[in-house]
Amino acid sequence: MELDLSSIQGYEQEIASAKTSDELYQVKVKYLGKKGLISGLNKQLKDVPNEHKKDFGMKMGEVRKSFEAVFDAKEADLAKSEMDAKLVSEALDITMEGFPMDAGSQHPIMSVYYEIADIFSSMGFEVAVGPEVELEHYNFDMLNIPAEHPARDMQDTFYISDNVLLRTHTSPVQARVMESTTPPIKIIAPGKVYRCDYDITHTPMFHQVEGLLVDKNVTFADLKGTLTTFIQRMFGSNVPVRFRPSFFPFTEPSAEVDMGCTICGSVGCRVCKGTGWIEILGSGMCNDELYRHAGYEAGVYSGFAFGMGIERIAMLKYGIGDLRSFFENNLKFLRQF
Amino acid sequence: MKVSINWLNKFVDVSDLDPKDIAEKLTMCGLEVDAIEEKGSLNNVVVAKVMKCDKHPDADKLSLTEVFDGTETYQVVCGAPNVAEGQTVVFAKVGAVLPGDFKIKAAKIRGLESLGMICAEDEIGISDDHDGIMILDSSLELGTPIDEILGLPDTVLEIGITPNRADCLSIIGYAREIAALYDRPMKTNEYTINETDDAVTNYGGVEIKNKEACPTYLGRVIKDVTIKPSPLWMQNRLRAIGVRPISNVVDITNYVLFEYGQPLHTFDLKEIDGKIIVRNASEGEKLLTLDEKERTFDSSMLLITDEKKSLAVAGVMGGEHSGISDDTKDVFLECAYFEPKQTRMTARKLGMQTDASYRYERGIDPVNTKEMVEYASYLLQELCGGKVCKGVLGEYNEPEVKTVKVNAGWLNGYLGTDISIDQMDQILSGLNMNPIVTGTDITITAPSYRIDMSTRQDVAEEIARMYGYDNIPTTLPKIDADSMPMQPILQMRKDIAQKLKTLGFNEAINYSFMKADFLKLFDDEKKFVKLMNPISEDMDTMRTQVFPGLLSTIKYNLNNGFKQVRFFEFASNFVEVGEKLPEQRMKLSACTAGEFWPMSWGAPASSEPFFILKGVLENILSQYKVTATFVKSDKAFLHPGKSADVIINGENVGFIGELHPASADAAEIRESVTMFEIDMLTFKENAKFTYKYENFSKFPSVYKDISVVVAKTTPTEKMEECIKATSKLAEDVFLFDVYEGKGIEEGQVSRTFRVLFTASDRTLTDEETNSTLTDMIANLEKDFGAVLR
Repeated sequence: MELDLSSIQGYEQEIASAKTSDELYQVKVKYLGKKGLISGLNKQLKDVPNEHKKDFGMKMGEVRKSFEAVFDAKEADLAKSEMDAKLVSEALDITMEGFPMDAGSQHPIMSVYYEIADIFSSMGFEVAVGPEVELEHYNFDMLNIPAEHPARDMQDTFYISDNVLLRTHTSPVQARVMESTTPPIKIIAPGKVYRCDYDITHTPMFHQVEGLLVDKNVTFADLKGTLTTFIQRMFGSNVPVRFRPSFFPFTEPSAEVDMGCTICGSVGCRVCKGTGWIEILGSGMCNDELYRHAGYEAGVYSGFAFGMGIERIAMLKYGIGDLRSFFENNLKFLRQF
Repeated sequence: MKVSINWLNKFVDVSDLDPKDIAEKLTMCGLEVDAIEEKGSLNNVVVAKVMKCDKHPDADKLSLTEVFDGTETYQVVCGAPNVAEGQTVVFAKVGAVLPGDFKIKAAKIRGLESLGMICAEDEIGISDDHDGIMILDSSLELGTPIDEILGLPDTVLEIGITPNRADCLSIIGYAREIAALYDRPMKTNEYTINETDDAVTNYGGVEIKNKEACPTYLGRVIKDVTIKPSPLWMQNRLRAIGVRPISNVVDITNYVLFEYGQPLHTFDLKEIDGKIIVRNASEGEKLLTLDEKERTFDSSMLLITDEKKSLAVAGVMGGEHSGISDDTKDVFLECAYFEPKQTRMTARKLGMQTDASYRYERGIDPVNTKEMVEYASYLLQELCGGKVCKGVLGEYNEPEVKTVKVNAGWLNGYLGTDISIDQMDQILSGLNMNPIVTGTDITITAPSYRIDMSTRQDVAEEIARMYGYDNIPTTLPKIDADSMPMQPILQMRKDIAQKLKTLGFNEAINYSFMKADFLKLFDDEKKFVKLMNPISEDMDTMRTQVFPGLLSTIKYNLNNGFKQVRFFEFASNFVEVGEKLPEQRMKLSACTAGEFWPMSWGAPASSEPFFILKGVLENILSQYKVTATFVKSDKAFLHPGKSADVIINGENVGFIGELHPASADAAEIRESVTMFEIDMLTFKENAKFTYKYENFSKFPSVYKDISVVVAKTTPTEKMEECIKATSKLAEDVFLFDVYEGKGIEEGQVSRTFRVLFTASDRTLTDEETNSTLTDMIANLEKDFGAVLR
């Protein structure tokens, strides 16, 4: 006696034509449900002689397996196409703006400030700070700029009272450090300074970094080496640097430091006034008077000092034309940094 | 100062040198050349005579002239109002090219041919004067190229002078420098005075009452001068360096001033009563100076007077009445040395600066006065027809001669060089320092004009600049090369700035000074640090707090159309505390105005800015393991219900809060502003820069929620403390929902807390956490009258 499979002939066809998981599930119920057609094959068992029942049972198992194989394949197929359809329906307009996680900005003066501080830190300089409202004593007297000295003409000073002023440079920080410690001293003093001048190329407040190195046997050649290293780290290792004699009351010999114009590549332009050079630093060997004021033994130490304007460096670095824009705090300006 | 190369040639032969090379060398030895002005040849421009001058038949304002250059006659149409027959003029022939690339061509002007141009001063580039044509001395030979008359071509260097190089405030100063740089000999002025038998003592005397301020005062009397224009060569030299010629006597004093750096003064002899007295002013003494201003003096100021009245401010400016005028016949010539400090103080107090005071303040050559009184007298004799009286009045005091000893070994050690003693000797000799070498020591005696030479460093500087900075080696200091970490406070500043940037804040830098009236909105005037000489009223007071600066930044940007602004600033505050210096402490302030989140489809629903900023502040503090407590603030400029003082370790370090609407109104800010300001120094003292790792439980944590209704005034912080205190298993508690409105009574609020349960030794069971939760609710009921929702 053969198993009658006529009742389940259509399942492959039905599975194949199912369009959704639901339709497919209906096919499963129809064949494998409790009252399903494959389950219904069991009814034929009662007419089968006992010695054939085992054989018969195995055949029924195979039928069930065949069904499940076809069914599983179709189910996987449908799942994939349904997920694909879902993903298509979930597609975003990827050109819409991102979540408004606005980036803020760091003031360009501060970026340059930290860049300078980092370079000097890596060369062993410590960063020192001091008061912005300062005693005349530290701002001028300690630095070999007595009251009637013509060098005071170079700076227009804001006064708070007769001997209290807004520091005109960060040198008083150096004077304070020299007064309170003995060499070796290797510091830079960055910060705000003030001069009573306000026009297209001057703001009454601006930023300087000054440095001081004092020890035994420090030479002018060391000054040249240190500042050349700084400028080339700041502006690139190929930038030419030149030192030119100048005058500052607190140094001797003094030197203005020029670097090759970064705007025109030293061929001459408006920024460098056609000279190919841009003045970037003032510097010099510390005048012995500084050691005398600090109470150091005469003739023992030598050293050098230097100073630069942060705004000027920031202007060169970013190509900013108007000094005053640093202090307007216009968001259109700040957000570029 | 401007320096004409032609004038320099008088003292050192530079005719074969390229002015650009001179400029480069000067710059590299410390005399920075700022500009080089080429005054080119004026070819085809000659001296000519106006032979005939008629009205142009077809133009009222034009003249038709015939101009003769000694060889040919040209018809020229001229527009100058002052042109007239018989004048000797500057004539530009066809083919001439005038300054500004102005080419002279044959032209037809109103129908008449014009073959050239009669020039005004501006057209040949000697001044800005365009009032009329330039009229020359009729004795000049016709046809003479104008180059010869004007001293062209010439090159003028504009040089910036540092305060130590007073010796370079003159042509001769540069000549000396160039002679040293190029190793060339100097030339000197040759002149002879023909003194008359008339003794100068017949005309007065000189008495110096303050010899400290005026160690030398020499005077000569020159009689019968004729006031007229100075000769063209002198005018040209003065014009070349930007000095306008006036008349012979005045031009001579200017000429000597710029040639030698010696200021002179000339008085009209008839205005002097008796002898010259150099003395301090009496208090309140007055004088009308040459600039027609009445000056009032105090007793610290030095005057030149006669026996009856004051005549001049010593070293600064002469008096109007005693000066040279067109009818001056006899001249008293002053040639003096005034002390720099004295001159500087007088000039400063009077608010005056003149070419003379500028030089006296910096220090002139004290020895040169002897020669200059002679040289100027010679010029007055030659160019004004004056008769020089016999003898010199006054007193001359020889200045102290300074010597400086320097060791060559020290010098090379100081510069990092290996310069031979011979070369040092040579350099110093070239600078007239009279070096004497003994072994490795060099002793110099500086020339009298080098008043800046007094220490071994001064000598080192001279050697360095003449040896050439470029030739000095480049080395690095031989001291410890370890890198230095940045100071903690600066490192914090840098890190916090990065964090705030990431959180969308923009760093601002405001001026440290603001308008007092504005600062008064936020602080007591007693704390103000005021400037004596502010730029303007808007910048007259130092900020006592940093945020007022940020408020003006906010206002500026809101007015510029920005809707949503966030800023921060690190800056010092300045508070008067009755000590020598005000208190100055680094502050961090941050603020946000308008909607915190920008307008966008994706922005979250608006949140209370107070809590956003509080979150920002807690974020910053937590990076340094600092926890702050927030207590109600009573600052008048803050919203009373949306403000807190920030407490770290029991110390009040600042505030957070919304600007009081009344303050916002007064500050003219239309949006609500929320801000904080904290003291960085106290923050730093409490900051932890190093810390140890803490073990955490390996067992899973469980979240459970508690939702209760309490009075709105109940502090959330206290409720969280209560929940946490109930059980050690509560690792963390936070508020995750707040609801008031429908279903909740007025004045009540529903708060949902989420509790994180963790045990260090086991996985927690539901029973355990549920029973702890029940305890927590009981405690909330007990402490706050909370009702489970």
